[in-house]
Amino acid sequence: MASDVKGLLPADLGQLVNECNVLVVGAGGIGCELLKNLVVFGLKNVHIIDLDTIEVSNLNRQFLFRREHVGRPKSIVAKESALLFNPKVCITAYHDSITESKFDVNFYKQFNVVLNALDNRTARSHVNRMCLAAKIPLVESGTAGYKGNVSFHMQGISECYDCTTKPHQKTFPGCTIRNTPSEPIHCIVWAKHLFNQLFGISDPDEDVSPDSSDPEAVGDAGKIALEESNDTNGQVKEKVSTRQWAQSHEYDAQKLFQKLFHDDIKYLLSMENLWQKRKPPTPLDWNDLPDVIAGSSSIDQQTVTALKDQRVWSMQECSQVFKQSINQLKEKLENEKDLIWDKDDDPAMDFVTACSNVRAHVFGIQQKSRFDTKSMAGNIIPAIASTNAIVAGLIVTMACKVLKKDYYKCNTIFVMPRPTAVKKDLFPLDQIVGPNPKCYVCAEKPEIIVKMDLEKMTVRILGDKVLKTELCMIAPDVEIDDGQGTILISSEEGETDDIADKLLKNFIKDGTRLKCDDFLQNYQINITVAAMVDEEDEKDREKSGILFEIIGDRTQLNAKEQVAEGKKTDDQEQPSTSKKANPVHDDEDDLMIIEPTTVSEVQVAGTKRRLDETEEDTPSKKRKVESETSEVIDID
Amino acid sequence: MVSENGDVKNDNKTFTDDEAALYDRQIRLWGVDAQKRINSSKILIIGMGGVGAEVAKNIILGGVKSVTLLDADDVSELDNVCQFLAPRESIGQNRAEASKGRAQQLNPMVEVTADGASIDDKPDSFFTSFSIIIATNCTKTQIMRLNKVTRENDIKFLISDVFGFFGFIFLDLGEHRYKTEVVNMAAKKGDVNVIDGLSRYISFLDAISIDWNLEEFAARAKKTRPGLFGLFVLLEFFEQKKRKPLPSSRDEDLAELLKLRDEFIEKNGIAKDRIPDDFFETVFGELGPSSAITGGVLAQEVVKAVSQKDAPLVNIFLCNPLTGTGYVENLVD
Ligand SMILES: [Zn+2]
Repeated sequence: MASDVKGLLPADLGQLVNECNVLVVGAGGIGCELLKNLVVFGLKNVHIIDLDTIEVSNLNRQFLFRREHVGRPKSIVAKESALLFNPKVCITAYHDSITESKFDVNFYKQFNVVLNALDNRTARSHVNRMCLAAKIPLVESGTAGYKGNVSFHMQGISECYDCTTKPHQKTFPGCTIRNTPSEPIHCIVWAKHLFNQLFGISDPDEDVSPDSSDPEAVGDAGKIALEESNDTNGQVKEKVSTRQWAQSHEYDAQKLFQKLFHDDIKYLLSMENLWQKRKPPTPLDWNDLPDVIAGSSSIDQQTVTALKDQRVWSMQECSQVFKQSINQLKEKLENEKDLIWDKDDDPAMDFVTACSNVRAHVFGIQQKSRFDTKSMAGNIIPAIASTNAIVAGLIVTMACKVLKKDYYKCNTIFVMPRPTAVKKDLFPLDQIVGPNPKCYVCAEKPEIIVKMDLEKMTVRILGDKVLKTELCMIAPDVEIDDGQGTILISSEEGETDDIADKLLKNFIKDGTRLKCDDFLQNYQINITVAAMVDEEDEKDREKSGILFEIIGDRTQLNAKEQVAEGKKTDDQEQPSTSKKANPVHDDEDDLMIIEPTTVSEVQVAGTKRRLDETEEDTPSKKRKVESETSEVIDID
Repeated sequence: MVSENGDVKNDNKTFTDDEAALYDRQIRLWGVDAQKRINSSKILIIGMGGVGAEVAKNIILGGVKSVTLLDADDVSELDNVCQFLAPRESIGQNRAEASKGRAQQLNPMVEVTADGASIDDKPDSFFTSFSIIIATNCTKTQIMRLNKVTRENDIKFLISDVFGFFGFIFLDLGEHRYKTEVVNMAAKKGDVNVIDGLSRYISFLDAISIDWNLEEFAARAKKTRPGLFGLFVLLEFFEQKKRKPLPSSRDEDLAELLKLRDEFIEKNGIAKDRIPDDFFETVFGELGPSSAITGGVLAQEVVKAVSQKDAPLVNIFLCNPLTGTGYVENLVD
C-alpha cells in the first residue's frame, strides 16, 4: 500500500490515508475503478454500497466483474475482487439502496469523506442531502463517453449538488407525441407510452390516442373511443382504458394493429386543420403492408450490417415482431400485475422498435434500427473504461486534498474529449463556487413556487412527480399550512391512500403553502402553490398537457415569464423544469451531468459567485460553456 | 489489418451476439467501424508497472485482437502500490508473466501473451508485427531505438510513464490521418459532417534535442509550465540510473534531480523558476491514481490511433493531479 511505503507519500498524507474511513456509493463503471484505486493506494477502511446486479453489458468496463459473476450483486463481487489486490484492506459491502432508512445521518457521520460513483440524479441528490445533514464532505463524479467531471461539495464552502438544478430528460408536448410526430424520437416516446398503457402502469400523461383537444385542431374534433374524463367527484376515471380495450380483444395483434395504425390514423386525418401545413399520415392495413422502409428508397439499400440490430426492419418484419412481442408480453402478464419497460428486456425492446417504426412509416418519418431505437428509448449514455479510470484517479487525488482539508484546492475538474484551444488543458479546472443562497436544498429556509394544474393533477402526481421525481425526496410528508396541520401526503404507508387519487383542487388553491418534509434526508421545503391558468396555456400548443412547472422564488417567476415570452418562436425545447411526463429514470450507469460554468482558464480558488448570476438565473437555467472550448457540453 | 491508405480490409466482419452485447456501450460511442479496427489491432505494451497495467486493462476491455506484455523486470513491493495485475504473492517473479493471468481474465476474447525478455535482446523484426507499440519504463536510448523502428515501419508509437504523482504521454503517430465528426451548426439540429484530418508528429529524438536557446523556442521557454522541462530532467535521471527516483533513496535522488535540473537549465538558457524545486517533491515511485489517469488517457489515444477516428493529442500530455491539472504541450507546430 502506498501509505505503507516510507517516503512514497508526504508524511501527513500517508497518515491520513492510513486512518481514514470512506464511503463509496455505487459499484458500477466508476465505482469499480475507484475501489481498485483506493485499495491499491492503501485506504484501510472502505464501505461500498450498490443495489444492482451484474449484467453482460457491464463487462466491457466494470472490470472487477466477469462472465461467471453475471446475476450476482455488484457490491459483493466488487469487494471480493478488490480484496485480491490488497487483502489487508477492510471493505464493507452493502447490497442495498442508498436511500434505505438504515443509512441515516449517523451512518454518514462515521466517514471522513463520501465518494459518489452514481448513475442517477435522485441518488446523487439524496446523498448530497445526507452529507449536508451529516456535515461530511462529498466528492461527486460522472462520465459520458470521453467526457467526465469530478466536483467537491461541502456545506458552507462550496455549492451543493442541488445548487444548480440539473437538466432533465427532454419532454415533448403531448400533441406532438399523440397527433403530429415529426421526428423518430416522437415515435419512440409514443411507443414507450403505448407499452405502459398496454402492459404497465398507465399514466394519464402518457395517453397515446389522438388528442382531440389539440389547440390546432379545435373545431373539427369529434368523440374518440379511448378518451378519459373526470367524473363529478373530481376522481379521475377512465371510461375504457387502452389496456381494458386490449384485454377485451385478448391482445389480438392484428386487431391492435388495425386500431393503432389504421383507425386512429384515420381519426387523426379527420382533424383536417392539423394537415394543412403538414404531410398527412398514411394509415396502414395489416393485410396489405408495404415492403419498403421509410426514409430510404427501397429495401435493397439494406446491405449486410456488422451488427444484427443495425438493420432497419421492413413493415412486414415490424408486423411480425409486433405480433411476436405482444404474445410474449401477454404471457408475462399472466404472472405479473404490471410490466415495467426495460431496454434490456428483449420483448419490451422489440415491441417498442416495431411500434415506433410502424408509426414512423405512417407519418413518413425516417425509420430507426433496433440498435438506434435502444439508444434513444433507453436513454443510453455510452460509458467506456478509460474515462471511468481517469475520473476515478481524479477522485482519489481530490479525496487526498479533502483529507488534508485543502478545501480551496478542490476545484471542479472536467475531463474533455480534446484539449482547450488556448491553454491546451485536457482537464480544465473550474472555480470553486460558493453555495447558491437561493438553492432549494442548502439554503437556510428552502422555498419554491410550483405552478400546478389543480384541475388535472391528483395528490399522487404531486407526490410522485413533483416531490419525488423533481425534488428528489424519498419519503415526503406534506402538511397544508392552514393553521390546522392538515396532512396531504404521509410517508407512513397507507395513511393518505384514500385521497391519493383525488384532484388537488379539492384541497388546495392558488397561494396555498405546503410544508414538505423528508425525515431521513433531514430536509424541509415550503412550496407555494400557483394555480395554472388554463385558458392561457391551452392556446400554447407547446405547453399542452403540462401539469406543473417548478419556479424559484417570486422574482424568478416574473423573470421567467419574460424569458418565455421572448422565446415563443424558438424551437420545441421545454423549459427544463416543465414536466408533463415522468422522465425516464437515468438507468444507465455513470450518467453524469456536466455543466461547466465557464470552463475557466483562470484557476481561481475562492468563493466568488458566478458572474452570470442575475435575477433571471432561475435554478432551471442551464449553464453554458463560455470558454474557448470548441464544443458546448450538453448531454440531455 | 489496416492498409496503407488507412482503409480497413475486414469490412465484412460481423459481430457475434456475444461481441455485440459485450461491446455495446463503446460501439454506441465510437461506432462499428472503429470497433472493427480495434478488433483487428495488435498491441505491444513494454513495461508492466502502474501505467502499463492500467493501459493493458483498458485496451483488453476494449477488445483489441491481441496484447503482448513485454517486461524483463521482476515484481517488487513497489508494484503493489500501483499495479493490480500482478498478484501480491508473485513478488520476485517476472512481472509480465505474473500479470498475464488477471489480464487475460479481463476479456477472454483477446489474445494475451506475456514475454519476459528484455527489449534489448529483441531484434528489430520482433517489433514490426504490431500495429501499436506502447513503451513504458524505458531509457531514452531504448526509446530512440524503438522510435527508429516504428518510424521506418509506420507503426504508431506511444511513450508513457508515471513518476510519483506525475505522468506523461509522448505520441509519435507519424503522419496520422483520421476522420472526425463536426456538428453542422447551420443545418438541422443533430446533423453532423464527417471531415478528414491529418496530424503530424516529430520523433522523440527531435523533441528532446530542441535547443531552447534558439530564438524560436526561447519565448516559449519563458511561458511553459514546469511539466515539460521537468519531464526532460526525469528522463535524463532514468537514462543515467536505469530506474525511477525511489522513496527509499529519496534524499540522494532528489539531490541528483536538482543537479540534473541545473545542468538542463544551464545548457538551455532557461530561468530556474521554470522548474522550481518543489516540482520534484511528488515524483517518487509510481502511484496508483496517476497511473489510472495516465493509463486512461493513453488508452483513449490508442483507440484514436487504431480506429482513425477523432483527432489524437499532439504531441505530449503532462499531468500532476495533486498540484495542477492535465494538459498538452505541442512541440510539433
Ligand atoms: Zn445547494
